[in-house]
Amino acid sequence: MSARPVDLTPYLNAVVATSDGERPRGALNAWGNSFPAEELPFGATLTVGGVPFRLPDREPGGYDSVEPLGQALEIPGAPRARGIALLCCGEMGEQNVAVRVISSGAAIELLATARGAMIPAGKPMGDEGFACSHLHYPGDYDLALALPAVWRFEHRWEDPREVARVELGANPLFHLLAVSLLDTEEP
Amino acid sequence: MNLLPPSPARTTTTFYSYAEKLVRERSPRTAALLLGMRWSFGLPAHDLERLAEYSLPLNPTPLDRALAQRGGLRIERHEGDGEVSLHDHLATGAPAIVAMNAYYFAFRPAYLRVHSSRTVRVSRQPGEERLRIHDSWGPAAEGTVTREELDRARFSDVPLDVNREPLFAGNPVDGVWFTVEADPLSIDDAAAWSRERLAWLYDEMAVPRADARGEYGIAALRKFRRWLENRLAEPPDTAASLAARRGASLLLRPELSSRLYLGVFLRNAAHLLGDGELQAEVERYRAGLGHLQGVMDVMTKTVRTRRPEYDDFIRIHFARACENEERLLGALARFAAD
Repeated sequence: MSARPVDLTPYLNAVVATSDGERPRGALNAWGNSFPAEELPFGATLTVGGVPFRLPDREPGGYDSVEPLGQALEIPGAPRARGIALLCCGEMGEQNVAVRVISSGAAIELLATARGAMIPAGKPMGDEGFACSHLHYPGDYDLALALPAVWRFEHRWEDPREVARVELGANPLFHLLAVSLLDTEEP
Repeated sequence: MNLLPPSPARTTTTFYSYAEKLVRERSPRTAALLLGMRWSFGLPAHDLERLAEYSLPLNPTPLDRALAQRGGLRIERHEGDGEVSLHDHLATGAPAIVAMNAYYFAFRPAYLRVHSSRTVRVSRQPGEERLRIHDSWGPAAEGTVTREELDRARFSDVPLDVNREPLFAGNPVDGVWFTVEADPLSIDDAAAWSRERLAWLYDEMAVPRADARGEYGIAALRKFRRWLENRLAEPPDTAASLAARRGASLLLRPELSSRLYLGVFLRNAAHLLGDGELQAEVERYRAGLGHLQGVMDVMTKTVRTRRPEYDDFIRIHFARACENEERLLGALARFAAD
């Protein structure tokens, strides 16, 4: 599958993953949990369900993900694509956010769904998501009882369209780690 | 602008969750319905931060009496082991819903790390010394404890540390426990039974009431909305703002729980009446509860992290949650008693 990552770097505004020693920074939920950063390939590609997602670079003390608060993600070069995929998870369970894919003045409107960020240990994920081996707690410890997970959300359309911008609605409980345009053709 | 709820409504307090399970053992088809015969909105006269995870929603007719009158559900709340001892009750083989501090349970992630209070289901099997604990709080776990270990968790100060437990700490547990029982529901005239209860629910929400415990109904909801908007307009990082956010989140939790079960009752009532118009309104109401879920969850998030956009989200979705209640009030007006 040809897929083009959308660079989320300018839009990063939240912390869902922490390294050992910085666990109190975690904000995957109000209880300060977080993904173990060493298990998510920040700055590289994570393939989920056959879709390659490029996670943003992660700087110590910096942000690593996007909470949709009405941002517009600009897509340089407006590549032609037949779909969009999000790597995401929902705080406190399943979460939805409105997404508008802007193409030459027209818009594709969709409701993206992120499944819950926590799964019980041992629950099979299939190819829909990716789970880490343990969960970080703000008290600087980790446990492997509930595991943090990210999920693939995908939406496709029939004819290729030039995608110039992706507009996000507002839901602070929706955590976005990567975006890929699908079946892309460079202009 | 997206007008849809950010997520489906789903959260119930641990008390409601166990109450449903206990009632289901005796009355499997009607458990959720029996818990749903309450509407209103209760705004306590006391400081909202005094509410616990397992607090019952405040009601003009106290919830236990209201649910007993309307569906025969029997909820008994005990404080400590005065009139009836929890351990004497457990010795009969019957389960109980018991408030505790998870800090003292060795099979919980919070063990000796996080003070956090909620309820668990406790039972004792014949011939067994240790007590069986079922804790459905994620990650769900079961374990056994001694009587002394349970009592230590039942009578605990639960000191507040918002970085580790933003909501369910800061109030002592003080040995609160509950029993919940119900008999199978027997209805002669389903339509008349439904109409009577719809009239009661309409009255409970439409008529403003107040007593020493607090204020009730749609007027109390409107007052709470004004209070919340004023608190959100204040500087967000003060102790007063933090207290307001914690209190609002604690207040909304039992109110949402009650409404999830109310939705089940209303759906059944519409079916028993064969009332398609009511059925459509009820489904709209149930979907609209997602706004309240989002408000509650984002409000909790702001205890730890505050941003102007979070408060905008709370304002917008709480306005929609209130519209949802007002719309249902209008839909039920035709069931008002003469």
